[in-house]
Amino acid sequence: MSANHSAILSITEELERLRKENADLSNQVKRLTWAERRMIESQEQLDQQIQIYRQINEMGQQLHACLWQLDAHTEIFRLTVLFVIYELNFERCLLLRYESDTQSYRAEAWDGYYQEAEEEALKQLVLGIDTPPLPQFHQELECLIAEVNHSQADLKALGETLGMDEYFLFALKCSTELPQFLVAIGNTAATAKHHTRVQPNSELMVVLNTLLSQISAAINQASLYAQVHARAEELQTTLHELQHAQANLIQSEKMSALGNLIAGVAHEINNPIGFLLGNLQPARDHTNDLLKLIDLYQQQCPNPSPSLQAALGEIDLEYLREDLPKLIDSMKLGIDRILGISTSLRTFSRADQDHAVPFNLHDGIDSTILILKHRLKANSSRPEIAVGLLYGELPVVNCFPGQINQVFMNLLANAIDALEESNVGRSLEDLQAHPNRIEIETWVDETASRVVVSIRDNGVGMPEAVRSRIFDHLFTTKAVGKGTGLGLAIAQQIVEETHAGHLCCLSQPGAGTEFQIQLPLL
Amino acid sequence: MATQAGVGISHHRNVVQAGQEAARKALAAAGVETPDFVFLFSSLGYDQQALVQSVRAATGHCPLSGCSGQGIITQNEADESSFSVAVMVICSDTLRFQNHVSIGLKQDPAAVGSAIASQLKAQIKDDALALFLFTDGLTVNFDRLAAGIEALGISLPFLGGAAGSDVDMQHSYQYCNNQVVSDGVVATLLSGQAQIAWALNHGCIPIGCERKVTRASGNIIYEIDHRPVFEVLKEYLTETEIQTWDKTIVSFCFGLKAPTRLNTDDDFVIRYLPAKDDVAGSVTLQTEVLEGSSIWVTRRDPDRIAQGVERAAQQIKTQIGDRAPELIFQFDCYGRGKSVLGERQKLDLQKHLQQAVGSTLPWIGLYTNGEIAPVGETNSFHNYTIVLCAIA
Repeated sequence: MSANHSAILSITEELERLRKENADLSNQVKRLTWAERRMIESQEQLDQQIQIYRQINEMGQQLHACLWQLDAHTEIFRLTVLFVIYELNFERCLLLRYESDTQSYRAEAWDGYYQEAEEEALKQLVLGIDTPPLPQFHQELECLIAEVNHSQADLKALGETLGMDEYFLFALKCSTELPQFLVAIGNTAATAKHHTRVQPNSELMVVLNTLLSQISAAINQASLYAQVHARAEELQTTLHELQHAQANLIQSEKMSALGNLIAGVAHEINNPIGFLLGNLQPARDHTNDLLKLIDLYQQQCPNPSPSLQAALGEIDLEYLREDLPKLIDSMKLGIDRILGISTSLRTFSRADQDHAVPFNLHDGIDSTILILKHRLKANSSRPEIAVGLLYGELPVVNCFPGQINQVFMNLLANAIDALEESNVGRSLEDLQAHPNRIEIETWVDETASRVVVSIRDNGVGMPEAVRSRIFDHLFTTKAVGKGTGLGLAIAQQIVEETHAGHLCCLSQPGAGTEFQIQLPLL
Repeated sequence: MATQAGVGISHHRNVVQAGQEAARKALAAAGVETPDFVFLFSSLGYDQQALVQSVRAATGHCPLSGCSGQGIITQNEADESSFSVAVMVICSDTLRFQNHVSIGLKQDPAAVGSAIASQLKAQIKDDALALFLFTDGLTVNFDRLAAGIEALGISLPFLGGAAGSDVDMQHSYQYCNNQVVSDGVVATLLSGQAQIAWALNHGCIPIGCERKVTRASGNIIYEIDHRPVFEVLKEYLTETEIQTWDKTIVSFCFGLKAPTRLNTDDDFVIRYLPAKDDVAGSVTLQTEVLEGSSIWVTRRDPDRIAQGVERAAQQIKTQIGDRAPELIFQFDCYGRGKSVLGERQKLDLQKHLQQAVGSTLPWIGLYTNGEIAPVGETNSFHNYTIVLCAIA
């Protein structure tokens, strides 16, 4: 009995011990489970922090990559609002930029406002710098925080303007006293529970401040880069203008030298022509006198000696009498033609004055054709290039004739070049069947108060890629040494800048090319 | 044609654009313009009605079923943010989908079940395959709901989940065509020429000793081991954890002794505690609990979860054999997400599962407040469980 009792006691004690051990173990498991839960939570928090800093780092790289873009500020703002919404999980982000002329902030970029009325309100949003509580930013303050249950009237009113019930408002001061940008980040009360809440907890503030520092630095750098870029562009433009001016100067000098040469030649021709023209009538008179004298001799001495008769037969006096006046008339014609050429040369080469003068454009065209006549004539590889003139009734035009003649020269010489280029590979028979032709037509466009000179060739035309660039400075399709790429650029400059006219080109491959010079009727 | 299906996802914050983008991607993936049926699962940051309208407009107003979730699952994504929406479009000449909705779960789940069953009865033909159920995640008492459906002689596998609720646990949402409801159930009857397979696994282990439920009513527990339920819970939870109930219950659950009729491999069925009543001193489950039942406090075990996922994939493949799955549904407890596994391990596990079953299949799912799938012949409700369903 005693043994049994002892055994029962022993078993009971053992059971009690086991129960206690079990309870201890159970408590240990509970503690371990609790610790495990904490560990998982803190690990997850740590992972989230690492993740957010990784994203901020990536954001920094993206910001850096866009600094050199022309619209770097726009891209910085876009990246900022996207990061706030999609990575930091706030409902709304609004970036405001300071405008010094109105001393106010205007909405520059935003996201999270998906109602049309809200978008419209943001576009109209103007926040004066004295709007409460913004003056707080004039001191050292960098961030205002409006939590969901705040009771400050000015924060509430500002929140209504920003479309947020809880928000952070950060000031990006950049390099000036007044914040150049305000960044509002927050939520509406209706959906705040699905977003990161606006609370001044230290981790969130560190993340936001890190982000805002990056953005601020990016904006500053982008502004500096923009200044450098603008300066570089300015220098580039100046360089371009200098090159342009230099090229124009060279071309003008060339044309001026050519004009002087032509004027010189015309002048030199004029002197001998003067002699010829001055002596021609006396020569005709003297010849008539001599013929009259011969007639008198023949009347008074009807039977000349045999030797005289032989001499008369030899010179064929009757023919001479008949031909000599014709010969002198022919000489007169030649001299007149030389005079015409001389006049044309002087017309073409006339020096411009410092103001526009009345000018007959047809004279300019005619003289230019005359100068280029040697290029229009037939040669061993092609027949003559025909020039058709369809002149309308043009009034005189106030212009700088020397420059206008330079335009005609450039366009006609180009037309001849284009025709010669189109002749490559064509047979003489083909060229005779389909001859090269240049049509020059003029008319008055009454509706536009302009005179129009059209110069058309029936050459190969040009593709759009070439046509769109032909007025570009230094652009040429001609072989090296055959074209400078300046002629058409200068022609356009003369017509459009000097004469307020318009020079255009119409062309299609295989359909020839037409240039139209339009000059205002003043 | 057989079955063409595609899944699209969007995280756009603008609800209209999110719905359009997800639908557009789904249609493109399926290669169809006018689908026959749409499944929609969405997290809770969106205006739910606006989202449904947007998806309906983009999918030609064809029939639609779905619900809100604590997160969305598709191929290569298992997103628990508040802003993700997944759309599956289906165009098929071998499968038919018919959907119905009924509300009033909180007041009378059995009556809701009856209402659903009476709508379905005439539509159930010989080729009926399964009934997808998307229930409210806060007010459902599944046992009574299922009893209400089955009472009218409907004998089909029930698959689906309880809709995820917003963070303050006030509402969950169910979608049926244009309707967005709470406290309801959307039932989608699947019929046609196909094979349906499913697998499930919870991956929880008990903490401490067996306890007894000593006072309970319906799905509400008042006392455990003759002590007020909160007094017992304080052995496991801090005061703060009890106050922040919505966060705490993500990683805290009860295990009930599995009824022998369920014929399951696990000893426990896991129960989520969607609500507590501080005044009444009670916690609420989503199924019936009987006084005298054995009960354990359990925790999720990452190793068991990983093994369970592996096993679920294997079970699906075994069931469908050589047939290629056409659609995959994943109803996964939100307590099995990043809160217990961490984001990286969760994604690794999800990737492993999709590689095992098929990484190019139209795959849609959500993080639920409860999962529905038969165990043996019995339609059952689960918590902290993955339910994987394949239609082949």
